Amino acid sequence: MTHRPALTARQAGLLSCHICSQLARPPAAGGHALRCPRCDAPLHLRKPASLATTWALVLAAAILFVPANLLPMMTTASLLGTQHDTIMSGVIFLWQSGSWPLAAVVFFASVMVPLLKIIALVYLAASAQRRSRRQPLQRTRLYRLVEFVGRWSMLDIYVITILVALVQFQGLATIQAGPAAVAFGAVVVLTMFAAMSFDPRLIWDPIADAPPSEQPHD
Amino acid sequence: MTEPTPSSLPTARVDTPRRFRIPLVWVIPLVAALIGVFLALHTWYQQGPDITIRFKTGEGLEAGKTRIKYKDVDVGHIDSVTLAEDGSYVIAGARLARSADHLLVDDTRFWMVSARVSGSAVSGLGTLLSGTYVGLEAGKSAEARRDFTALDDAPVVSFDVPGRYFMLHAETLGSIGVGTPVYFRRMQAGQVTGYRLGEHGKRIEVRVFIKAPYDRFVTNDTRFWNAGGVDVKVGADGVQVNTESLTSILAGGLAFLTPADSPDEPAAAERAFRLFATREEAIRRQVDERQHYVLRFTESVRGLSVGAPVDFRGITIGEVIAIQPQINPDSADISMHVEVSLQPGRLRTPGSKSRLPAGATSEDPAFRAFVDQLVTKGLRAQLRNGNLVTGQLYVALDFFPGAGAARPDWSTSPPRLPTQRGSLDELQTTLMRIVGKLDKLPIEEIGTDTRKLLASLQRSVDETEALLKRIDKLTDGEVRSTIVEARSAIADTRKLIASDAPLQQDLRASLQELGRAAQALRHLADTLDRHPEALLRGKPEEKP
Amino acid sequence: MLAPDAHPLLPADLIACHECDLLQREPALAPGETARCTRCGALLARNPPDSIDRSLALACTAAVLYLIANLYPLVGLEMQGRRVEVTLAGALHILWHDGMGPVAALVGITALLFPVLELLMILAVLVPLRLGRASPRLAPFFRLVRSVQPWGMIEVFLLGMLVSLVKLSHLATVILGTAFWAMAALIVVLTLAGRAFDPRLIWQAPEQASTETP
Repeated sequence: MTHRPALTARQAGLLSCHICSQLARPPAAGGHALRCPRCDAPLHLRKPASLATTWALVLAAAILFVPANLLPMMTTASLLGTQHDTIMSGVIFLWQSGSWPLAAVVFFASVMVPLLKIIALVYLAASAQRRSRRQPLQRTRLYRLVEFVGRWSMLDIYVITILVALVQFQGLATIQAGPAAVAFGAVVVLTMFAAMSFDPRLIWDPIADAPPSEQPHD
Repeated sequence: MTEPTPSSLPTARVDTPRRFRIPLVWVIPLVAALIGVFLALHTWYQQGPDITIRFKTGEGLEAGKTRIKYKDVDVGHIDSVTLAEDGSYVIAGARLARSADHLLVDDTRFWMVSARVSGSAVSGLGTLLSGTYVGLEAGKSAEARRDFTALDDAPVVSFDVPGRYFMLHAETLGSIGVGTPVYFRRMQAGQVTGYRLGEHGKRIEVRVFIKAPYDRFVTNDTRFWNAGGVDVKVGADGVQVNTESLTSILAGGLAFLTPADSPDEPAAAERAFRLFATREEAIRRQVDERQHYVLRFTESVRGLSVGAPVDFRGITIGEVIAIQPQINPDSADISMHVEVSLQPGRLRTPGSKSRLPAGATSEDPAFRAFVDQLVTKGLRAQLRNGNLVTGQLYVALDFFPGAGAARPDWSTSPPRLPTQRGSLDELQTTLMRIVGKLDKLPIEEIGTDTRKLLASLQRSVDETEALLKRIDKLTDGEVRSTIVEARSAIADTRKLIASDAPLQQDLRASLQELGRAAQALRHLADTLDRHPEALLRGKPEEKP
Repeated sequence: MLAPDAHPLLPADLIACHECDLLQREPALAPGETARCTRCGALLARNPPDSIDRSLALACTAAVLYLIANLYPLVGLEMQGRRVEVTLAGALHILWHDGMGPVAALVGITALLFPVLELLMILAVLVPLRLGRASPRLAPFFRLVRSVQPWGMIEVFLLGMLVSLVKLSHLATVILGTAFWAMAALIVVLTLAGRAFDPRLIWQAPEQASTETP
């Protein structure tokens, strides 16, 4: 048997299980709801409706990102009055009170990361849709980064949780979570789902399908 | 010699590793488990007792949050707040630290500490910032206890303060409340810790705590009185303003003093005292011993009221208890019987520090003899005008040297003391006498006589004139001039005594005046009889 | 159900990269080595030494730590004499009552539920393996673990806690509870446990069993 360079499982007509990495051949008769022979997980050639799902989720996340930053994240009621804080104002507060590293961390995790995730996912989805053959390795690395970093956007949500739980001194100071918390949580969840629904193999499919003369340049 | 072949060499034995080789990594979970167990034991050991406290309301109680503090140190917190089955109180479950275990005894008290503003104290302001908490006061009992009922308010006095509790019996509560201060010589010596209605609702029982060292000064003879507010007295001796302190003006206060002649022995704790309404009353009633007498007056007792003082030369020694008219059917007489309560003890016998010998009641023959002696000397009871403004009367005991002989009547109950007519009464009587005398004057007769006299005088004058005329005819010259002079003199006299002569008129007018005066006096006597105060106030308007 | 394809042209050690789909052979790994895709560098397999023992031990540790982290107070705040301490469950309770239901649910799932689920599933898989009783029944558990894994975010939670504590340290005295340290340790242990586990063990045992049966 000859091995063509860069033979993908799809080209070989094989299905790969995402749980146990078992390779299997689809039955000749075709059919849906195929399952892995080893671990009984659902088998798909590629993640079902990957691009469509990714697009939808990214769009929803982008829309919700606006209220998540504009609406107040946290309301502090104290003897001095009531103060509403958005994510950005919380960062500014940290910066002004001298905790620069924390301000940077919160800014990065709560503002930059979701934004960059959305942008990255848009880029990945668009490039896969256009069947671009540019820089597949970098894009794959980008995908790994997006997946890894995604969870850290939950940081601000946890900060709110602890603040609300602790600062409940009736009369002195109380903190309540604001509507932005819900929006922000939704953004994080949506981007995580979006990343999970994007099949990175789609990056490599156009390269596999291209004629051998047109090999990708890295 | 043959060389050993590879195939004839024995194969080394392969030692397969035992199946149950425990890798070193298992130390980690072991350590973790040990730490966990240690923590669990530590927590379990640290757990203090669980108690339940009953509160009237759950206000300020938050399950899991509200702390319990003893001497301002955190010793526990409230775990749960539930409504009792019948909904009449709130059960709070609390957990205390182990170190507080010994504090939970039978008379330990709990209460809610929150900001409180009352008339005499502002407390607990710190809780506005720090949140309400439950205060604890450790008792001294030896019996452990786990179920408590919270007090409504912070205990006014904590266990640690030395002092004594006493009970005061009062007519009304007035401005007394929990925390009302008690003063001794204007220093705060204690406070009211509670009050309740006495049995049968006849009195209020007030519990006070007098702290050391003031409690030493409370003896069996101590007098307590309500010193709250401002005591303004307008009396026959002027206006008097009395107050204990600024606080007492606002929040009320009680005060006490111990008579100087009282024995030094401090009163026992929880002893009951009577709470007097004013300082006056408290001081006045230094003697318990009272005697009742009745006084019989035949004059009007208008202006005398129950409670009016019985006074001996300016010292109040008793008061009027009752006033009643008494009909004596035998002599068809109605007299006024005034019952008085006297404290002969207020009159001291010289040479003894205290009052009259104990047991000096009105039954005591020695005492009776003594009173007889006084009456013989002229001791009488008399109604006098105490206040010209209000017309109030009071009973005065005094010596009247000119009084008629009398004796106290010990046979009646209460015994009767002789009385003397009041001075106003005497004035009235005298006036009546004058009026009577005036009345008796035969003014008319005098008038008639005077007229007769004048008439005869006129006749005499006429005759003289005729005589003179004859003489004039007889004599000329000087006789004539003399006679002319005599004539003019007679004419003058005639003018004088003519019916319209001023002299006669004056005389008549004077007689008329006299008549009117007599009438007026009669009227005055009448008025005085009916309205003694008319001396000053003037006649009341005649009713049509 | 499909039968494994015993095509002679298809070596048994063939594997497709799950990120770039390249077909390649899975090399035999010495203990401690990891296999990566030749084209895109994705992690294909690892062979941790004493995998079962280590992962099981670490999983047990994680279980104990998890209990401590939830039973004891996490952090506390002291302001003006008033003191508040929360456990994780308590914090969620407060959020829930404040009307922030969705947020409380999100935090609860990611910081409470899924980590414990992950832990239980790992134990459910590892214990039979350690006892030598592997079976295909383990597969669903493992699938559950894999689907739940991305959603367990205790490490993010810990960092979030630190940030909020720093924010609060200006206002009041911060008290780090027992659970805080337990959670920090938990994160470390969970990470190590994940690294120490070789998923292939689940499949190898049944396969060996099936190939050994006549």
